Amino acid sequence: MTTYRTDRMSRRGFLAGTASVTALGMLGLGTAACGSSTAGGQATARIGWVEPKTGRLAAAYKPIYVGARLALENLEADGGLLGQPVQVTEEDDKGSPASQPAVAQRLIREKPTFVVGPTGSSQVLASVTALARAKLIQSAWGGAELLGDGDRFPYHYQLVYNTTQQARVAARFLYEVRGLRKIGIIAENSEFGTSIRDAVVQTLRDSYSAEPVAVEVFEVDASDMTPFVRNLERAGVDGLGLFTGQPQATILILRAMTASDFHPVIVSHDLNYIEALEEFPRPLLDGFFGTTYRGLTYTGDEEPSAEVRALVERINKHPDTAGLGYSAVTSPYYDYMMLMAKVIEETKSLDPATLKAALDQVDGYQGVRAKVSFTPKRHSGIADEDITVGTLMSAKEPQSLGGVLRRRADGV
Amino acid sequence: MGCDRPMIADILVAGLVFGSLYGLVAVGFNVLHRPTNVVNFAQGELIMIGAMLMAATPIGGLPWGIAAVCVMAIVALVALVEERVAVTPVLRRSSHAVGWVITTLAFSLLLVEAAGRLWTDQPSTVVPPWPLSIRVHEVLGIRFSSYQVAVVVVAVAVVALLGVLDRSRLGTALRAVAADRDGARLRGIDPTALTRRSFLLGGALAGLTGVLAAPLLLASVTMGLALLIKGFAALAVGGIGDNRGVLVAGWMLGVIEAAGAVFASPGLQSVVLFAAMLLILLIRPNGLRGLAVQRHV
Amino acid sequence: MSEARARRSGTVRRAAPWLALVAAAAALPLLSVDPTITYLATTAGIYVLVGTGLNLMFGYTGQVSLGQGALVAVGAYTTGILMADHGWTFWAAAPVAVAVSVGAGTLMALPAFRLSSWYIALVTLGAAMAARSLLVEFEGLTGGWSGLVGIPRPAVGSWELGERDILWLVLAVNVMLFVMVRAIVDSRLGRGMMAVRDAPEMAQSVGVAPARMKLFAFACGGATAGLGGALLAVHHGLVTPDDFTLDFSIFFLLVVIIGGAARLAGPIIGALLFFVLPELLTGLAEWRGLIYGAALLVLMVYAPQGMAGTWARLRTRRGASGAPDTSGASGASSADGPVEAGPPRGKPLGVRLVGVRKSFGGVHALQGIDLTVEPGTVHAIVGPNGSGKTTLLNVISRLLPQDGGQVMLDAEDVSRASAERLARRGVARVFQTPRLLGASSLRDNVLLGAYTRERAGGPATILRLPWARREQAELSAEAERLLAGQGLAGRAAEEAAALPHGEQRLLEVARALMARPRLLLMDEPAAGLTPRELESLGRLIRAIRDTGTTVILVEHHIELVASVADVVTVLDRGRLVTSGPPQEALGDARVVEVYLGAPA
Repeated sequence: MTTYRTDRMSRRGFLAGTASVTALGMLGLGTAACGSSTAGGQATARIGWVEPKTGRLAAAYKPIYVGARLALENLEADGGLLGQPVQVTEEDDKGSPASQPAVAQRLIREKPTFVVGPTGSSQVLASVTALARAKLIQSAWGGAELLGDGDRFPYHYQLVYNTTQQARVAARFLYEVRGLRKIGIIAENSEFGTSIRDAVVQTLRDSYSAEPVAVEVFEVDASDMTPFVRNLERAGVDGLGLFTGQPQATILILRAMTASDFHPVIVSHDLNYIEALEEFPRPLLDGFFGTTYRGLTYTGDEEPSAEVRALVERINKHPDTAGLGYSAVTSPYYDYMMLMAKVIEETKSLDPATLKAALDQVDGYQGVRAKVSFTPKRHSGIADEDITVGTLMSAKEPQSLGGVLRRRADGV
Repeated sequence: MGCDRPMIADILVAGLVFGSLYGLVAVGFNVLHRPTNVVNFAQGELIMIGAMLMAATPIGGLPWGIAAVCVMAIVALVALVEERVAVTPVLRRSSHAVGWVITTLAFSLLLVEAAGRLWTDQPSTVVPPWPLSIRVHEVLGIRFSSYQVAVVVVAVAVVALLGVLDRSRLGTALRAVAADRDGARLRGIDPTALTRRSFLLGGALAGLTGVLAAPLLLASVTMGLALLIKGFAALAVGGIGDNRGVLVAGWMLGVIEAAGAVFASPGLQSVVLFAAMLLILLIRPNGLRGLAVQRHV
Repeated sequence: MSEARARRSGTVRRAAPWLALVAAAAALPLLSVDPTITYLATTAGIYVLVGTGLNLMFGYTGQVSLGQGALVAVGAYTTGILMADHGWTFWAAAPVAVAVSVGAGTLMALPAFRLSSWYIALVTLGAAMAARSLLVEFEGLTGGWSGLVGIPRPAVGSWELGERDILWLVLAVNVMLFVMVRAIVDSRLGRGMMAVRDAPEMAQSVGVAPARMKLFAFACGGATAGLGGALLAVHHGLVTPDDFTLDFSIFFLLVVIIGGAARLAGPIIGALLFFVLPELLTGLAEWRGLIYGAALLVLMVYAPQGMAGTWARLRTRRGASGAPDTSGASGASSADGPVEAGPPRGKPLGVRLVGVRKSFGGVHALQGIDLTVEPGTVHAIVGPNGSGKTTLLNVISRLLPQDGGQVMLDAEDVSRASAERLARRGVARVFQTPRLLGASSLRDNVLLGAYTRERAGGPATILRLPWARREQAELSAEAERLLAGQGLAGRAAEEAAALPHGEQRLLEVARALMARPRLLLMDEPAAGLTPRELESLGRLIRAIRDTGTTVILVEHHIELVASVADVVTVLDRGRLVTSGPPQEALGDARVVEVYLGAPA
């Protein structure tokens, strides 16, 4: 009885086993074939592009890649790179750090000339570590200071200001420019929040021998900010560093401040003007500032360059922008791709090692946002003097060209 | 200056208000659980859809009352779709399957995907209806807004209404179906129709919760998960099937959460909540009110 | 000898498809130069490893754990800390990681003892989320948000393992684990686990301690998670808190359920379908979320047993319709031949109850019962509905604790004992509604009765020592004889859930007899039987008593009681009315009044 059943089972099972062997084998050979066919053309520049196409960040991050798409349009208008059309491989990282190793593997297989993205502190760290072995040039949007370390990550170039730079500018604005002495910090409990909070405390200590009177840390998905704001109020904070990547948190903090009628001067990480801000009283919003790039700001006397204005116009017209022009223009990818194009044209090479050598010599390249310089050890490219502080409400002014540019704060 | 009293008052206010929301989530679970013995993993996303719809311009432009009713109707329909597609087919196969965990989870994934395509993750505000507002008044050192009071009142009212419903014919029929689905059928009760009605009700309730939550939590595509988990916790602590118990449990959890925010380091907040929940469950494994069901051997 | 050889060749033939699969997976890096394939296969292999542990915990033991991802994190971080910060080798760090994860898993199991399974889901979910917060909080140890980078590859001496070698390592670990798990599942441990899942009270009555079994299940889950985490750490080279989100934990549960819970192939199929396939179909990335959700929905509705389960079901159905039923005697559900009841394990047990009370809220089920059951007799307990008969039986079998009074088994006071302890003393139980392992074979159900008789423990089973295998074979033969005795000859391999109700009852009896009980508790065995079957039952009960087993029988059927019982006790509303030989007790006027009411 038992053997009869075993026979039938094993015959069918054997067929299933053979089928699976064949299937796997064909899969492996098929992908091998795919891999080998594209390995041929090394003369064409290939760009690897990491963007969340699915997942909850997909819609939110679309504007961030608008700059890259516009840069791509520039390249195509110029006839590609080194006379050849540019090939772009887009990889979906789902906005998740966990996907990065697999995405990195696929990128390594493609052997692109350089890699654009990913975006987001935790995603970037995972990606850069995974790609470190492969010697691929990459620029990702992550503010960790670590990412600008040329020894640690020799092939990654940071084209955004890092948390230390940002902290220095914020602290200086509150302490020196506005003369405030009771400085407070409220930051989210994340990689970014922790590092900028530490950096601000460090700057206050080192440059001004001062200590913050209150430091509040909140959980990223906290639903109520009242207790934290109350603590700030009780400490008598008159200058506040507000550091979070979640627009919701900013709104909830402002709301708590409105409820208490508490209006400190705020320097924030994010200067995006969103509709939800309409509900807040003007005096509160007039005291809201944020760190930004000099090239994207104007004053009564200074106007942004013609190049910037042209780019802003194109950004406003692009369908992916969806009203988040500020995010689009502050993104590093336009400057990155235009810089890479320049370096490729100058060295006439697509070899990563050659390009790296050239990049390490870049000095004072004028990007739309700021001047960029690299050394072999210092891959944090944004010049300190090109980081400045802008006002939030200037998004409503006509000079902001549709809420994309910002007015520089007085005294900066 | 009496630093402690305002702080405790703040904790209580925040705890009651948010706790009412968590309790409402759990009440929604209860409504759907009655005829099906299913815990709806998509409940958080249904609430999210309610909140997002409320914030969406076409509906947001209407007077609040009409908008709220529309939202509740739409979410009720979505819940009905869920019942047709994810719940009844599983129950039809076998009445004690575990499949509904996955199908309701899958449905929640689909809802999030759909929402992600329709809306970005920019938070939208919803203005509370006149004469309520989120402007803060201070009475005896306690700060609260009229809207917050309204939320708590609505939560209590919902539980009371459901209690009345429970004693009606419909409620009895539901209890019959919960106890013995086949037996109820023999008595002329149609479990499928009851299930459908429950899902419509549960969906409307989820919509209402979303409408209530939107001004407080800010409608965003990611708000579903946190509400789901806190609703679960309220359900576990309060006891499945006990609406009053889960509302009280929601309040307890809200207060613990608010206290944790003030006193504990942020990294430990979820640990505090979890530890509190665990402790309560270990002392009373059947939830707060200890409605222990004797086994039938 | 030929039987053994036939069995061995059968085993080889059954193993053939698995070997083919492993060979194919191992050959992948040799067939393709694409590093992503090797990478993918290694990750899939690790997921299968973790899924197998979860399958033991959830599929076989019914413990819904949403915290498997957290346990993997524990394993990965332990390995990372030991290797990156302290320079340990992988071969030293991995066992430590496993041990730590087992510890963590056991901690998670502790609430499981008091809570029912859906609460366990919630608790493990909470643990998973708390674990992530803790990982970040202890920055000094875990590197906080940035995690640990620079975890080296495993090395043997100076030779560092490459990508391919890691794949082969993972495959080898999987093969070993598969063999071990198969051994566990087919053994008394596996039967015990399934009993805890399907019928916890029946499990207790055969001697399975649910708490210990759950602990074992969580330990298994923790061990595989720890090992998986260790392998993940060296595979990726870094660990960050974001690697272990809630989705990660839920993913493993999905893999096990969709693949087929309680099926050995389940985790493999689940991982292939829900990890490998989406990764390969990169072209459809835009629609991935929708496809994923829709696929889950459809699969769960149409294949609720998971893929492996549905496959097995289809095969059984086709096999059942194709294969002629060689056992023609299956039609008759009554035993015509001599009843096979092996000698009990010792002298028959006597029971004494002194002043036993039990109330359920306002209902006083037992109000001070004094009862003596003489060893070696058939003692029947009768009474109208609601008289407390079943409650009394539950108190005797220790499935219900009494509120007051003493319960003695021979001279031993078992008032505080657990039901499992009674099973070890030789008490067996037949339930009113059959409590069976529906998805298991008849043979396995009967073998469950021998739980306390089997000597082979965990290690002996896993290592498949010869004496353990011999014991299995002897017990299997005995089980088949018992099945034959109940008229279920030749159907040992059939699925228990497929039996008609009457035959399920007989299966229960076979299981109880397998324990070679010294005391047998039977709860309404006569309900729904035909007169012919009743006659068989009567003969069976008498035969059981004659081999030296005490029988306590709760019954409604007065004729059967009269023909079989040595002593009859009548209960009414929780009180003892009378006790004595059947003619006396049943003829007592009070008894008549109790059943029929007082004369008008």
